[in-house]
Amino acid sequence: MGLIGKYIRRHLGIFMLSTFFLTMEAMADLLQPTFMSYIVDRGIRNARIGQILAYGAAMLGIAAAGAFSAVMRNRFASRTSQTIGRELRQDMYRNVQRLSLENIDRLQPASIITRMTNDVAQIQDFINSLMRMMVKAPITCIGAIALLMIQTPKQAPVMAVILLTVALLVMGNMRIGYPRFGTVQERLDRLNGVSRQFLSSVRVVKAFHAEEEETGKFEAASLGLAAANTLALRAMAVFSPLVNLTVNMGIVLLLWISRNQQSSEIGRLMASVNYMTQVLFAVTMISNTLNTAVRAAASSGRIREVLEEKPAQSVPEDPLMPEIKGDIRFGHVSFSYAGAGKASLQDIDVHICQGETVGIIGPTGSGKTSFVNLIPRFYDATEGKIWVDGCDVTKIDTKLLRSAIAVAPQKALLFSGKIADNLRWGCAQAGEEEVRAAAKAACADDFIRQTAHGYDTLLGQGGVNLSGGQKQRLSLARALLRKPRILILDDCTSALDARTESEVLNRLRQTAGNATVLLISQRISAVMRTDRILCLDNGRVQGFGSHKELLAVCPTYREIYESQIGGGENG
Amino acid sequence: MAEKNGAVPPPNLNGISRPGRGSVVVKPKNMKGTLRRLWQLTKGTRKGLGWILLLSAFASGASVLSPYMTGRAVTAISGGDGVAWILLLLAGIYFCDWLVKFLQAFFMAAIGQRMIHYIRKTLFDRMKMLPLSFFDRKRHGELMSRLTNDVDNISTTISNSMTLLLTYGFTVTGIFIMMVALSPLLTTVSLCGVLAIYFLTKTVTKHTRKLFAQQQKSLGALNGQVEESISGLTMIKAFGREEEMAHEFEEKNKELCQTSVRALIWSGYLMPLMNVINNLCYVAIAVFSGVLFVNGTISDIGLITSFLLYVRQFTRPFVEIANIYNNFQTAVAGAERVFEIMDEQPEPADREGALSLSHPRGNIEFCHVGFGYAPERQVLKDISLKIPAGTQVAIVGPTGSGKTTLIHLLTRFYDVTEGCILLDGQDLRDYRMQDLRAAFGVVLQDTALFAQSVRDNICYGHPQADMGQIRRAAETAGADSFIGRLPEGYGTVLERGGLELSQGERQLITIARAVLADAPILILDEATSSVDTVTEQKIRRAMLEICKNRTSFIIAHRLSTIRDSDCIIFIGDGKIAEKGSHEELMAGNGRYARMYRTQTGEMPEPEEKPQGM
Repeated sequence: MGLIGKYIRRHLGIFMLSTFFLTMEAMADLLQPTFMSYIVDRGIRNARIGQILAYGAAMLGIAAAGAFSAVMRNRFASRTSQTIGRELRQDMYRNVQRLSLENIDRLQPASIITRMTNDVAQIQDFINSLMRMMVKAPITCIGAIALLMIQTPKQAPVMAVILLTVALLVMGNMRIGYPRFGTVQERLDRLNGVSRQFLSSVRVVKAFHAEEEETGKFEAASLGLAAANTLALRAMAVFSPLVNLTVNMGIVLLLWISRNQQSSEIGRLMASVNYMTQVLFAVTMISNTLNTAVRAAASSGRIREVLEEKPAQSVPEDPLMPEIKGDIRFGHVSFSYAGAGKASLQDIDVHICQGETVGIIGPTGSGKTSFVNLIPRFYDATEGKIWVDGCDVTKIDTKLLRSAIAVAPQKALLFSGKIADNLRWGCAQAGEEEVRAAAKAACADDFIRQTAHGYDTLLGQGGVNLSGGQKQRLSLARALLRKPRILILDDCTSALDARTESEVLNRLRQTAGNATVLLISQRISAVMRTDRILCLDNGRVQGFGSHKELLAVCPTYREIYESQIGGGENG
Repeated sequence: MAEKNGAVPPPNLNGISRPGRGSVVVKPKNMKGTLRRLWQLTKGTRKGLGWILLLSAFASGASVLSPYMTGRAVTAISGGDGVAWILLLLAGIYFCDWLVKFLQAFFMAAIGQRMIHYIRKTLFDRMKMLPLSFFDRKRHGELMSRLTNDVDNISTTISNSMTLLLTYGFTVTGIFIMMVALSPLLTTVSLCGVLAIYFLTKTVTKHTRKLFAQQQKSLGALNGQVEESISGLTMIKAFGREEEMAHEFEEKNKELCQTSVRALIWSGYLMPLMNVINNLCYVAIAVFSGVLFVNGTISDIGLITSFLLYVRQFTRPFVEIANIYNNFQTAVAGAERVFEIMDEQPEPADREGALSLSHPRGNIEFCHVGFGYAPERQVLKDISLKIPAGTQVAIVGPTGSGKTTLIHLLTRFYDVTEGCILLDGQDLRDYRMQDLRAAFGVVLQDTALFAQSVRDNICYGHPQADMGQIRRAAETAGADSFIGRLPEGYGTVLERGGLELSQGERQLITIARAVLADAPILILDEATSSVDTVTEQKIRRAMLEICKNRTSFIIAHRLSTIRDSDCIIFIGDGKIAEKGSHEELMAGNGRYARMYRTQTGEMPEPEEKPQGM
């Protein structure tokens, strides 16, 4: 909750102003029954129309003032809550951008998204209701009780008993009701989990004719949710009407105690009854806001985790700004993902020369992607050092380092917007010709021109309207357009058919100029023709040399080769 | 709004806000028809619903009677008469009110949930029978929200609004009768107030609806952007686009903030203005009743008291009814979305007298088969093919040529649009669907695992398998050794649906699953594409073993893996381009041979339009 306080403090002026208007509004509400009692006792009873009109006018005036205050505090509350929401989102966004991938892995992307949307909405709701009700309810409550005492002093003990009972009921509801609603949330998650599984595995379910099994799982989850919901709603069914009953009985008691009242004070009696209901209303409001507060507290905890997450990577204090040419050296590098028991890379000691094309091959999980991820500092080595052009990468200005590197990953990530704009990510000022050339080099020009608006075609979020192979080619073109010093291709042709793949690879050397190229592939045919091949297995270097050398000395490489091409090789 | 009196509506202690407050109202397309269908779904809960609706009639009783009794009490007090019996009656009314409301809520909790469960189950039962094309067409997130949110919304909102509408209907009618009975003139005055509030509400909501729709739109835009920039963070960092993305985010963030503030401010006008009208109405009645009192038309001060209490309660339902009706409409529209799914064409039912199929031999014949996912786009054209039992068939060809589609037709995930497929001489469609699918052991492209133990995943679809069989299947698939290394071996629960395993390990489990199924015909769809080639060799050996004496189909990108197949079919542009053994096809020097050479690096030239370096 401290977090919310911090943001509210930034808008303290408006917050106080809103509280002021809120108080005015509460006062207006509180004055109404008193004036009503005047109308009845002094006006109607004595049949003085003048009095009725005078008090009536006063009532209207108060109502108008109350309405004005309400409108004002609504303006302030809306603006403040939404502005704080905006600030929270922005601060989170900025911080997330600063985080390294290690942080993101830990927080989980889906969870960060929920925090930035749903949790912020919870906080907004809370601040809004805080500025509407939280302050008003106690004022109304205390004011109503005070006025009640003034109107009918004899009521004090009755009031005390009633209020105590109501307070106990509200507390009882919180003790019993809240945990039950927690269970409902859990069961709902489970039901969602079961349906998600069914939907994503529907082919398997059908192929194995396991519809009945899935129905069983779904029914169990659905029944569980229904049962939890019934329990929670029943707690509500018990407590809510009881609060009503208590207050209503209070009204009866009030009338009973006042049975011998002077007949001239009938208006007062009516006002008292009215104040009773105001108290009830305020109590209900308080318990409602408490509810939002509980949720907001949970949300603010989750938001705080994002805001306070420290980037796992160090920022060089006095960053080096070398001209990057593309010479890469790994000095006894080991790396393991946070929380993973097993090291992904162990004691890697290789030197890749500037302008060289290096193929990287190895079984699944052998550390190929981890290896290249260390170069642009997506992750940092846990042991050893990496030098680019003789400079330790952790000492180089990260922006400068990354600006010299282009990556085309296996899972091509595109962004909503025009195709051309997506390509220009690599180089914002690239002219149309350059964009075309890069697309041609990636064998993407043909299909781009076949789309409805060519290079101006709008892509959906994540490039949903493209096939896997098309996305990979765009992602490759984007990397090529950057004209990097180091080009990293992480199995980025896996979704292409063999013919297109070989076409792309054939053009690659020419397009890349004298950049250093790191080419990861599962297919030996793709890496065979590179200058040197780095063969990895279990995070260790098994061999590093030309195709012929590796065939001669590296058993792992030979095994991969045999399995893909077999004995039929002749050159 | 704090001046309500008499029986106070039940406070919502848990703060569960009803949906749709100020949000966008979605209008149902066919209200009457949808309601009729909903009524059919209440089977089994109708009796309970009837009781609850009956209770809501009683629930309005207290609101109607208590102000009158309070007035009587006031008259009695001011006249110095005894009030004991009046107050006792009032207490009795309040007590009944409590009892009715408690019973209503208590039973509603169970009945409503039972109804939700029933609708949800009906929907799921329907959904599981739908053909694959349905699931390929729909977004999963959308279907999930049908199963949970929409169903929930339908039942709670509809039952809630029904009881509330009834209660309010009774209340308003009852109060109106009481008011007319007490004083027709004062009733006219308060009706003016109701009219004013009605027009105010209409004007304001007309405006806010538009604003909230705008807010929803900017919220969607912002959420999309957040999703994109977090899932694509690697690329943003790699290409140094942090500033641009942050700028774009800030624009959308600002836009959302502005639209929300506007919507909130406008909707905030409603309550205060209503308060003013209410008070105006109140004063008018006080003035009129004062005049009448002076005239001597009214002699009873209690009557005025009752009337003033009635006025407060009279206007409220009118404001709420508009709101409730909007929620009701939204829920009915939700129900329509649910019915849309229920109305989808299910997989074709078995033909009459469908044949059972217990041990097919595995002779398969394609006769002039044609198929398209959409009528105007043929994927497969005139495929004719005879596969004797026990043949190992490899299907190869460029991406998108129709390999997977061919398999889909075999398992009847989709039905042929032209020609027919025969299994042991009978059209596939003549067999019982259940038997037909049981005849195929399938390892699919997507390695779908379930959030249950490894053991249960392997015996999926065959829950009666014993541990020995499961272990043997895993051994055959080469999965036994890595399963042994998992923290709890076969009992390890895959909490994240297998995401905790590597892609290769996931595939090994799905292969073990197919092995255990021990079906006469096997289908492997790119089953080994994500396993490294060494592991693949191991799997391959295992598969050869179980493929013995079975008809099997293998789709693979890597041609080296299918060289030994009895028959290789090269599919190009939806037709069978080449057919034969590896040696035959290589000798023929056609597309297969070119593709093979490209892959093995023997011939870097692409197939058509030769390209210089």
